[in-house]
Amino acid sequence: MAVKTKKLFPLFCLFMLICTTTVGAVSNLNITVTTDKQSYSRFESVQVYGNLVLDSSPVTDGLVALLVKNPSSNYIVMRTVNTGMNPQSPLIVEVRSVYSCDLNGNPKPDVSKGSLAYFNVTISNYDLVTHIVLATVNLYDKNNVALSLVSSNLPIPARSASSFIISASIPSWATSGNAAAYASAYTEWPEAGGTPYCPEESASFNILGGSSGPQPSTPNGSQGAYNLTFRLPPKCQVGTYVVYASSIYNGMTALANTVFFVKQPGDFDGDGDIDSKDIFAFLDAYIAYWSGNPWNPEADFDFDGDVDSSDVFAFVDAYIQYWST
Amino acid sequence: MNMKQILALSIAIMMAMSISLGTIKTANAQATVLSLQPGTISGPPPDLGETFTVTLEIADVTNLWGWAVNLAWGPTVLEMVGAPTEGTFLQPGTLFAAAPPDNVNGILPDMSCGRTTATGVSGSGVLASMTFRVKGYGSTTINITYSELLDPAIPHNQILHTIANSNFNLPPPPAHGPTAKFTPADGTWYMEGDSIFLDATSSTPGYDTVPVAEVCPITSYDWQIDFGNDGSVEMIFGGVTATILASIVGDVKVTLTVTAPDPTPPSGSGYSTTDTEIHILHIRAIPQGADIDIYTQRGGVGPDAQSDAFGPQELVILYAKVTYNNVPVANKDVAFEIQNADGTAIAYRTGRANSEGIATAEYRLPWPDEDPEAGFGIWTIIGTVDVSQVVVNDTCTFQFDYIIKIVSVQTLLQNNTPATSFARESSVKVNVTLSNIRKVDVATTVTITIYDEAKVPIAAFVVEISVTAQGQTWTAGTMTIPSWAFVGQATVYVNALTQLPSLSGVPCCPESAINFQITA
Repeated sequence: MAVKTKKLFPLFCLFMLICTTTVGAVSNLNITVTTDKQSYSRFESVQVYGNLVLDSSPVTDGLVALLVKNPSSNYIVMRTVNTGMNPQSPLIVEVRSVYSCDLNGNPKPDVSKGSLAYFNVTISNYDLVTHIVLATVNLYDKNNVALSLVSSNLPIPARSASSFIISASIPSWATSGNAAAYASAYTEWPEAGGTPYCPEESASFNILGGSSGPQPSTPNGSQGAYNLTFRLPPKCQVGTYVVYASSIYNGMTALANTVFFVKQPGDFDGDGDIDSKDIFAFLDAYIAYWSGNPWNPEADFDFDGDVDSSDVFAFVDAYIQYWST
Repeated sequence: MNMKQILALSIAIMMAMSISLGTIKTANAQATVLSLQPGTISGPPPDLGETFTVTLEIADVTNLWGWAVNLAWGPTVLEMVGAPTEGTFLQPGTLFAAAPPDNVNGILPDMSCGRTTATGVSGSGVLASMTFRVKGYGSTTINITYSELLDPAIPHNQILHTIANSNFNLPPPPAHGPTAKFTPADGTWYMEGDSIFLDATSSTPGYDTVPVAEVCPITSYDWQIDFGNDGSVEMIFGGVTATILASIVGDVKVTLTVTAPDPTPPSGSGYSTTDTEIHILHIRAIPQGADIDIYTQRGGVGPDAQSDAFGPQELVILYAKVTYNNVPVANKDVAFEIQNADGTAIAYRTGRANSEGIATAEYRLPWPDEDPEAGFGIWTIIGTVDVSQVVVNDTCTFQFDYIIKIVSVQTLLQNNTPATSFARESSVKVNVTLSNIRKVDVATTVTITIYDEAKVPIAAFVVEISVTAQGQTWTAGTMTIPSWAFVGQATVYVNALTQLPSLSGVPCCPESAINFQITA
């Protein structure tokens, strides 16, 4: 038996060497996703960032899909950002264009608050087989508030282009002025393992009644890092939001997610209640505002740039509502 | 040098002389633009091997008498096919000439036109049009490398203008091997003794991206012919096209294998050097004596064969080919009996065979006031003819139904869970499945409109999709219910249209509707 073991030992070593070599040759694509804070107030800016790494080296030409899901499991943000520059390899599916239009597809740059806007999106499939593409259109107002997210699943035959028109409601609370539409194409929602096909395309449109603003642009990443900033809607749901990040690179996919919390209005310290500490925090903000000192913008309940009687009433309403439930 | 080239050369010389001898004056301060349209062409379409037309257009010109233009393009991406043709702007009374395109270097060395009277034309219009074929993947600009616009004065004055070129781009597909394609189509019928022309020109080359991105041309076309489709190959030969004799009655299996080795190995992963396509053809015996074959404009050639489908109120054209010992018999009267899906005869017609032995008749599928869809099903056409006191007959069947049908409509959450209740400001996904009974893909425009309880349209989605031949295709639109939607019962209306009504489109089938609840 000892002899047999002795003979088998070199084979075992060889086997282990092969296994080690094989494992070492397998590439790993990893993605991270983080938010700049864990807790946000309504209407606050959220920065999402992270890194895409292949075998400990940053991927500088990757695409990352970012999806934000609200507490009701509705998606509110769906964007594609890069990690330095857009991929250099040929695309299989590409968003060719997006523009604001009427329901017949005629360009129409102006939309009213509280009405429906329509967007025409054209996507090309350069592959030799049909792809069922998840196409999204994500709208932002002049303040970078995520207004609406609509999508389509459409089969695009091989070597052809498809267009669709989809409606999106413009909330009455949207800020007037230059707004942006970002159109992207994915294999599926990142929550279901989907990844981006291509860089996003953007278009500007005008929400009537305001001044012009900056032209839409997708933030560029750097050295394998990506980032995206958006502002939460002023009446967004309180609760836990999930951020999904996904990417595909050299045939490998990577998925990650994180969460952040949107505080109840009036919960200044983010401890989940509205108690005396929050009353004092509100009063501090009230006094600071009327004294001309820096003040906590969370006290501006109606987002009109001050802390006045309407904010006092709103805070008291929130206080009563909290203690009566 | 042919006459066209001589003419082009002489015109070019005359124009050059007029330029060199005349005083060049600025005759037009208006912003005249000489352009190639469309300004941007992004394929596919057009795809490799396909053609597209570019027009040379003039805008806001005053008193144009003649023009000359030279073009250049990337010869690896595009080639000009045929000769340019003149536009209507200077017509009538013009002399138009164009030198042959040089597709090796990608240039049109000369193209010009002048009026035969000393008068000019003002305004905007088309001067010429050119057809290009896509030779390779990539980007190129079709450039106006030389241009002049002349007025009618002697000597002619140059009309100042700016030029706008046309940009072409065709991104390549991922690396792939060649694709074998050929005609005749699978299932085609032949008569014993017929020549079967095999044509593989629609096969496409491969494309590889490593170490260089390049098209991999097909180097060989290999055919295998298995008469009887019994596994034994009777014929092997090569060539892009070939002709075989339908010598044995029964099925014949035709196998085409194309080979496209990568000219610059190594190949990328997944590159396959060969591809194969198989068609089964049918060979029927030469009818002895009298024979008749009934078919429609959508096929059905062969004994008791099935034609492609028809939709409501479509015109069905009936054909009967009458032969005797496989030779057409003219002037025979053929009786057609049209039976509906119940087997009830609804019409009788008689057609007289022409010199090719073909008799025709036609009828439109009925759409009565009451329950028109009751007529859907398999319809049968019976054709009979008497040739020398021998009565022969044949049948042809086809499916009568909506060509495109909405099979199902479903409301879902974004995670694809079926749901019938949605809150304001939440997302509702509407999934639509359509069917197509034709043997070819059919494009249709799908519209989804959502009404709230007060019948206010609160969301819409429009997409044109291609529904797979004799199959089903699905699409979905995910829309947000506005905060201002009335709570209560909402309705999703789904339509399948030939095009949008503003483009004269009409419904392919009845509207489909489902309800869901909108909650506060």
